[in-house]
Amino acid sequence: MNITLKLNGESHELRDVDPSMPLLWAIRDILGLTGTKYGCGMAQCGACTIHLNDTPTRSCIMPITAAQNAEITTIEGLSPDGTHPVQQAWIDEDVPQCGYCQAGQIMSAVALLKSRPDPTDDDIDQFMRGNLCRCGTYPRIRKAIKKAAKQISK
Amino acid sequence: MKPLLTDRREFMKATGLTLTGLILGFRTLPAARLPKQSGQFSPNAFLAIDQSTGVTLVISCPEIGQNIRTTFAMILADELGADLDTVSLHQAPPQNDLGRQNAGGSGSVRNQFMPLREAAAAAREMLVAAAAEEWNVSPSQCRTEKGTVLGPGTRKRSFESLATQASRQSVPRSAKLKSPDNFRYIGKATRCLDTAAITQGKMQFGIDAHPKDLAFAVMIRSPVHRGRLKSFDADAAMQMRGTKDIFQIGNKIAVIADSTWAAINAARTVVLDWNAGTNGSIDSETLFEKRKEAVGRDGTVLIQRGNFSKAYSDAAIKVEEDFFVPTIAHASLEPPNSTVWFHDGNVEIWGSCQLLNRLYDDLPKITGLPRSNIIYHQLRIGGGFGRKLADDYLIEAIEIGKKVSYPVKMTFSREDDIRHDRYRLADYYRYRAGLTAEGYPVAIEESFTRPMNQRQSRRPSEVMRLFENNVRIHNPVAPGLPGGALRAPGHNITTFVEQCLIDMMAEEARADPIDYHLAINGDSKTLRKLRWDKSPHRNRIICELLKRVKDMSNWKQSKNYGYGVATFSGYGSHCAIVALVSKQGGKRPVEHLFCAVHCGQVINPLGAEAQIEGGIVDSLGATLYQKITLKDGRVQQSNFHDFKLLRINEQPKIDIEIMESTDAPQGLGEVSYPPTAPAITNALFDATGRRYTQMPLRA
Repeated sequence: MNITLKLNGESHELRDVDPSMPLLWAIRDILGLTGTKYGCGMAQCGACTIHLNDTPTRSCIMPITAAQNAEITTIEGLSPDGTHPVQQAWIDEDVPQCGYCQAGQIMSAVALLKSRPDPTDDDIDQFMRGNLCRCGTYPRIRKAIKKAAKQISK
Repeated sequence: MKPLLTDRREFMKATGLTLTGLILGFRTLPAARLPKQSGQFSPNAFLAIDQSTGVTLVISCPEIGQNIRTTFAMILADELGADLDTVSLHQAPPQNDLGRQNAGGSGSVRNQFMPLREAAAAAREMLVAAAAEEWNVSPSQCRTEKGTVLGPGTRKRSFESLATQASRQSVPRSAKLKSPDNFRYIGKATRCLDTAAITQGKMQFGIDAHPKDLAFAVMIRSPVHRGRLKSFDADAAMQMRGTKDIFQIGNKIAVIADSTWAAINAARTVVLDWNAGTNGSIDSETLFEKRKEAVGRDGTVLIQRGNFSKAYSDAAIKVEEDFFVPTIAHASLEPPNSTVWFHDGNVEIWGSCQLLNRLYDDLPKITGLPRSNIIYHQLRIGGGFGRKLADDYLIEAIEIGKKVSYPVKMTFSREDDIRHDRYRLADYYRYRAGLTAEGYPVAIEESFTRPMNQRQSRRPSEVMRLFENNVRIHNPVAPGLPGGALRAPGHNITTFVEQCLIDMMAEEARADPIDYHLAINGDSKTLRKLRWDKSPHRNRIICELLKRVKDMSNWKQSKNYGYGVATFSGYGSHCAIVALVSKQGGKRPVEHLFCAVHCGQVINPLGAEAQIEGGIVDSLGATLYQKITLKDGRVQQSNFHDFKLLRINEQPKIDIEIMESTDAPQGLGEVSYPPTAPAITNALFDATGRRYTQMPLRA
């Protein structure tokens, strides 16, 4: 079937695709937008986190049909020039090591700050526990989220 | 078509540089420093300065999260006098003139610090000579700063504008290195140069290669190690939407489709008949019993010194203990993958591999093409931890690519990754240690069961070095899985068992663990006399680190916590860790970790701290959760729900101190990993009175 996805403000028509294909693979393999990462394929690691109408979503288990008519935002569409306060805080706190999980971490952090503008450590624990980092950047992720929160509330 | 980059002419073509620019590699330095063969002795580096593209720094080692791109750029830029904000970085493919091009053994900075500086210093002197010549002044009146040469008065020329003249200067025999007082970057906290690209999703990892008309593949492999494919039926899989091709390669089956997801689904539909072979009857429980049975028996005596039997029977205190450390997988977030495109008699490869020196040698053999027809793009590695030292996945991708005319990306699904790793293999240890009535070590017998190569097995373990009379016995038990290197290979097992044993010895000696560590690390003359290796420098550093973590942690000052200590020396660096666990069962598995490190001169404090912190978090995940088990020869775990990494809500507080030092810079990627586990189990003993001798703790 043909499916239209609205990704980072642009419409893309996917022709003759399997409707059960997870959004992750449509984004990466068909549309060639590789900022969103594959990590597990079963919503265990959060590397594939995108926003579906502002809601953080694991794109590796979300069928493309469920994403039709929704506003999909990937890491590439988070800000036009990389200056979202969370992106800036990630730079300031020198968060990434290998960097592979960080698109997912950032998308989750942005969503966290929308629901909890001034998150406690518990809030961060609860909201971010779905995002794995094999390099162990958690201490800096925590600092960066708090820094971004301050920046946003200014 | 750009061939595999083999010389500077090709490098210039590849980076769009003109032939008039100054290109400086090690080949322009004195012949004595040239490597005789690739990968030997002489690490070296390129830099290029060009009128149009400015200063390009070549990053010879793979970037895997150790922040080597920023670290090497800092070193080169500092010695050159370039401006880090305006340089371009070029990630090198496998070459024969860049020396050590690997991410492993925490060796990049250790090996390349001086060669990089020498290469950049020579370039600086040539730029200065060019400017001095033009101004008709002495080179000693000139210096470099922020990408310019500054001369007497207001004389100032950019590097770019001097490129042509500089390339005509003779290469200095030995360039004078900058005084550390004049370092602008080295030793200063410097943020990773790639973070902006990473935070915008622009950084390309190996798995992100996406040439036009790309197809996507997965490989079906025997579920049992060394199993053989009897037959398969791919008819239904071929009919599935998106399937492009399915074919057999030896005992494997390649499945190619128009998306990775379609390939994974089609692969699940292929009907398979395997001959599992002898490994098909292996279970982890029986392997455990087999190891337990084998350990301590008459095995191969690897090392024998003094008279263990007599010293042990005479010993006033005897400590006997068994330890078990399980098999674990690497589970780097970016699963193994490679993209390959054979066309027009050439091959183009996009890889994220840790060992480029070997690839330089092996790629012609693997691809069947001469080097001039191989283009290799080294992309950022999304974590490896040793997994991507192996090249099985690259070879598989090449095997698939050879059979098709279009570009193809072969990806391990997470299940493939967990079940077809090059594992850190399990080991079962047994110790018998004899101490004097005062608790001084006199006799030790160490037996272990994991397969190990000759070189490693003949090296005395750290703990054995404390004892005058010792025996090392090896009873290897076949693991039924392929082994490989995982972060601090060897050490990540031996440090756990040795540091637990030392804690037990302290207990028997009725000594405070830190006091005991201080004693056996050289405070006592008696012990110093017993040492195999007289390394007072190491012992002095370890003692300093122990005192440091004692202060940092307020050692045993709170009744609410169990305290544990462990030390490690390796990769040229040294580390002491104190772990605190709550006696009341705190919210986090481990409350707080204090870590003091000596790693020689620190190049980038921000990056150094990240490596140490990362090693601790990584090791904590393994200590608490990780194990790979076999049932009928098949790996039972498959994904992150049953092979767990530490999550942010479990992350303890971590305090790190790095000691100031003017020693040469050393390795940091692995040093904090080995001592984390024993610090935790020793803290658990302090908290509960129970010895934890098997990993993982939460099985």
